[in-house]
Amino acid sequence: MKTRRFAFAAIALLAMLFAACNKDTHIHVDESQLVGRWVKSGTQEYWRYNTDRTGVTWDASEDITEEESNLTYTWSIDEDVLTHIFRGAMDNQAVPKVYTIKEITSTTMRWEDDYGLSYTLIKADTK
Amino acid sequence: MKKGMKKGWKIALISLGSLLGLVVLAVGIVLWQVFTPSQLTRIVNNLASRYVNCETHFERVDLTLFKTFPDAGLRIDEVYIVNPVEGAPSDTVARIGSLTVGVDVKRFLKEKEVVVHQVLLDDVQASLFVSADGSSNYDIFPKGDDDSTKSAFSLDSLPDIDLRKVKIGNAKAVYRNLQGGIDATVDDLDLALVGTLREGRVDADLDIEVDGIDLATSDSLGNSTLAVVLADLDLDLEAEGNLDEVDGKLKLNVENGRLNTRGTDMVNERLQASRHDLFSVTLPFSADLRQMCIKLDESRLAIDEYALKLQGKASLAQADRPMQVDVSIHNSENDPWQVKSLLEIVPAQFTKALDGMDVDAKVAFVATAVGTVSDSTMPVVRAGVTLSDGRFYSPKLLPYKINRVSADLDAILDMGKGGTSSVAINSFKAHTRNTDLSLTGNVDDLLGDMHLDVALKGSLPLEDAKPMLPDTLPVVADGKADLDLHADLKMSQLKAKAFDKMKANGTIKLRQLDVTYDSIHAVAPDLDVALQLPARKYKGKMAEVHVSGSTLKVDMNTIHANLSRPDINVGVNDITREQIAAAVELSLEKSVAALDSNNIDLSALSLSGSIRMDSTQDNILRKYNPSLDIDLRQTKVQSPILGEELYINNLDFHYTPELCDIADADIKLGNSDLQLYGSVENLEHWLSHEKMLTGELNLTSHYTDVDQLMDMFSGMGSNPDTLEQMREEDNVPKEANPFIVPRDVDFMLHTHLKRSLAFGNDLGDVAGSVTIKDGVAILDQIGFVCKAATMQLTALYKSPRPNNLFVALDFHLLDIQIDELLDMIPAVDTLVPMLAAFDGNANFHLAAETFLDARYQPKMSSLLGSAAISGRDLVVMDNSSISQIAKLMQFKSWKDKDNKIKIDSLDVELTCFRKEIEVYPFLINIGKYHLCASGKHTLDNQCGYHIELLKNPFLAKIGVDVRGNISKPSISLGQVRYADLYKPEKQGVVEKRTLELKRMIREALEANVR
Repeated sequence: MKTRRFAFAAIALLAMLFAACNKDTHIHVDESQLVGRWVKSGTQEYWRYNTDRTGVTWDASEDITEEESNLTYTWSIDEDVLTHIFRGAMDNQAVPKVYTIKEITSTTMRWEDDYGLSYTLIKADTK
Repeated sequence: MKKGMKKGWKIALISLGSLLGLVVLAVGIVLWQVFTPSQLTRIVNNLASRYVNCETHFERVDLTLFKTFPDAGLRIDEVYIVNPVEGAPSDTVARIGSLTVGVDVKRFLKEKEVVVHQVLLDDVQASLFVSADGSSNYDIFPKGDDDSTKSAFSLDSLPDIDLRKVKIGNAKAVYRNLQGGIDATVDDLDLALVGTLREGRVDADLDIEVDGIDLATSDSLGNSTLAVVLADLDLDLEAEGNLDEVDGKLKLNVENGRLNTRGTDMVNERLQASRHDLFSVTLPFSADLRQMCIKLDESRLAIDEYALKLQGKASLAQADRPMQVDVSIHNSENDPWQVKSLLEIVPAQFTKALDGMDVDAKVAFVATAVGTVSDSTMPVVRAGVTLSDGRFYSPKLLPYKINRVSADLDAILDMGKGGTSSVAINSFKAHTRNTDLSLTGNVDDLLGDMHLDVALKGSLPLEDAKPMLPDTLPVVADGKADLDLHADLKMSQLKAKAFDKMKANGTIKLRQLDVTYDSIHAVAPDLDVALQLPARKYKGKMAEVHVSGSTLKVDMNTIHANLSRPDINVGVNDITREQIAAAVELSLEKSVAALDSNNIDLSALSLSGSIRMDSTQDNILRKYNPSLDIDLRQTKVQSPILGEELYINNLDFHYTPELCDIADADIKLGNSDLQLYGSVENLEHWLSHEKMLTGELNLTSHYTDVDQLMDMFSGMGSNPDTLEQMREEDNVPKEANPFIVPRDVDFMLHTHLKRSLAFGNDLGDVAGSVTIKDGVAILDQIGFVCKAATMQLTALYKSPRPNNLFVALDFHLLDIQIDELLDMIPAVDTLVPMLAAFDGNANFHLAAETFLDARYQPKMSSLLGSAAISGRDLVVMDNSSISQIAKLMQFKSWKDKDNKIKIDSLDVELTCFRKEIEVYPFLINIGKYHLCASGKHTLDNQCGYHIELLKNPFLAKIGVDVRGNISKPSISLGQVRYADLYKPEKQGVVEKRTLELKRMIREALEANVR
């Protein structure tokens, strides 16, 4: 029993050590870099960012057009953190999606979520 | 002695005779010598110039004793009267071959008075002429000094006349009046007159025979107005008696002749060829010449063989009285006129309308004319006409004969000022095949605004009525109609179609009716139609009709109806108006109707209200503008459109063009029983596609099969062809039958459903509002109970395309067993997989939306959702993953004595975006231990979760990562992330943002919980 408690304490200590050493690098993203229509690499999943900080995403592979799409959002960028707030048809629905932009050029953008999953988007057009 | 006596007488007589002969001889010699023809001729010629203004010539004048014996006569041969007038056909006015005048010698010798007894004219030719300026060639006598000195004519002033012999033989005369437009010729006139007027007593006998008379008149333009040719005219007049009581007889016969008035021949060939005299009159009379009165007794007037009996009296107008008439006229009752042969002598112009018709009857009539003739009055004529054995046949009008026509009419004709004329139809009957009609009544003001007050009765097989209908009217009728109709109206009302001023009523009893009109076929064993004009029941209406019967079967195209005890009341306003308005009442008992595959079976229907027709409208509601109260009982409706049977136990509603007010509807539709009340608006605008159909209804139900109702009403209001086209364009599989929300409607249902079945779930006490608005269905905060949990659902469903349906939910489950939640909504296990590890009650809030395909399968790329779960006193269920985590975190020690891990509280916020479910950091309190967990997993079972021990007796902070396939994850120690999450004083930007997002999600979700 004592051995186990010791082991648990040791793990907890190690965990605190890991937590203390956690440090990320950030990039600065300009809003204008986002404006335009993007498509997720290898899919027909589109993302549009408007200058008024609204946007819409849709997946044409499921027979949904941009005009029909329900996935409209407002977006904001804070350094490299890209926050989307989706408002559903019901007024009481708010769905945030937060990604960290790891890389952005005029043609590509790469996101990463809090759990390490990353996505690459390719700019389809600038409007 | 005797011998001597005889001889003496003989000698005396011979002597006297010789003396007389000597005297006569002496007188003759004296006359012969003194009044020689030459001397007489000279005397007369000289005297003539005194009495006439024109040239005269007397060829020879001679005395005669023998021709005029016992009167002394003066015979003049070759009398010429010559008076040239410009334009006259001849200068000679008259030529008389021989003129003899016999004078009473005794009166002349005794009293020096010339009394003419005889006037004999022979071989007379006259040519009388009136020029255009009015001067005539026979105006040959000198004018008197002063006409004003002449006394008024009086019969008593006439001298005694003793005409013992007046004869005119072989007279011919021509008369031409250019001023009056008259041409006349008399040919071979022979006249004989014997007459005396002595001391106020007249005795005369006049015979006139004329071979021919021609008379022609023309108007100022020279157009013929009258042409008369009479042949063999014979007139005989006898009169005898005192001037105040002359009895006599007038006979006039005209064997033949012609009469043409303004181009119309009044005497046709049939009449000319008749063996009967053209015209004959026999007038026995008694006259008072002083009073100018005449009395006729059994007189006879005849044209051809048609004779009238005439009797009565007449008096000519006098200074102190107008002309008066009191006569009667009739034909023989025993020998009535035959109309057919009578029509043969009527000029063709007047019988054109009868061409092609066979018309006949026996006519007898008797008429009287009584009254005065003045400027303002005329004799009143009363006539009784009897018609019998009549028949009528006109193939063009009717394919069958009308016979047994009989009539009994009494007419009154008053042509005077203010007088009215009328006909009393005592009876009028006619028969054809199986039809009997009779007419009675009165027709007043015959010559003015005719007023009819008549009653028509009859029995009429309907097939007999067909020929009376226009050929273009596609009606075939069988059955029988018993008519009993009465009308009281004026011709002016008929002409003006002033039906509101007419009166009429009656019944038409239709029996064994079988009528086809165009595509409508109706059968009724008995149908009574009652008419009333003006309406009595419906005040202010022009007319009303009441139709009732035992049954009425109607087929119209694909509509088939069998109605029991139809009872229909209709009151209409003036039907001549463009917009006919009617009050309507209808009741039916057990009745059935079918339209294609739609069937209606009702027990009772009552309908009352009004309609206002506007034929300019296409929309059926605008065409009739109904305002109706309808009560429908125990009615079954089967329709492929509904799919399920609709049973109307009771439907009570009031419809107006603005509003349909459903007072009470108790119906069963498929598996659902529905009780409805409320209102529907804009129905007529909706039919014209101008406005949406709007309504607000309150619905209660013991059981409602929502799934079934959705199937029934899917696509309502959309064009089926358009829907099918959309399905094809959207590549919708045939087996898929998505619910298409009705368009162009805006309905709100306030529901309270005690039990219902929705999406396979049994729900209880469903209450809330359901809105269907132009292709969008909204369930607004519907509360219900399912599996002992209280729930609230707000949902939105749109069907813009059959293969792209949109659904959004706002769902709240309060105090529900977690296992029942997962059982009821399996998708929750997908969204929150770790929820299955807990046991106990929880509150569940979910908002989600997605597009669905035609099979209701979600299109995951459009899925957006958020959920919040709160639980207290939960128990962690054993499974391998939990055990592994617990093992790592020494959970075993956290187990209670029941060997279960109990959680004090649990608050989870999660979102769903496409295939990603993200669980925001949440706190789990297990006794002295506080854990925080968060993570993300995908719907393809990949996960990345992080669990962290925040508080424990050892003050240790341990993080565990759970990654990989969710069913068999890889669990390992991980980095500590949330050590400061619930320590406000130490929260960084990330922690604050995380908590803000959590708060936003939960507050939004809980905002609508009632």
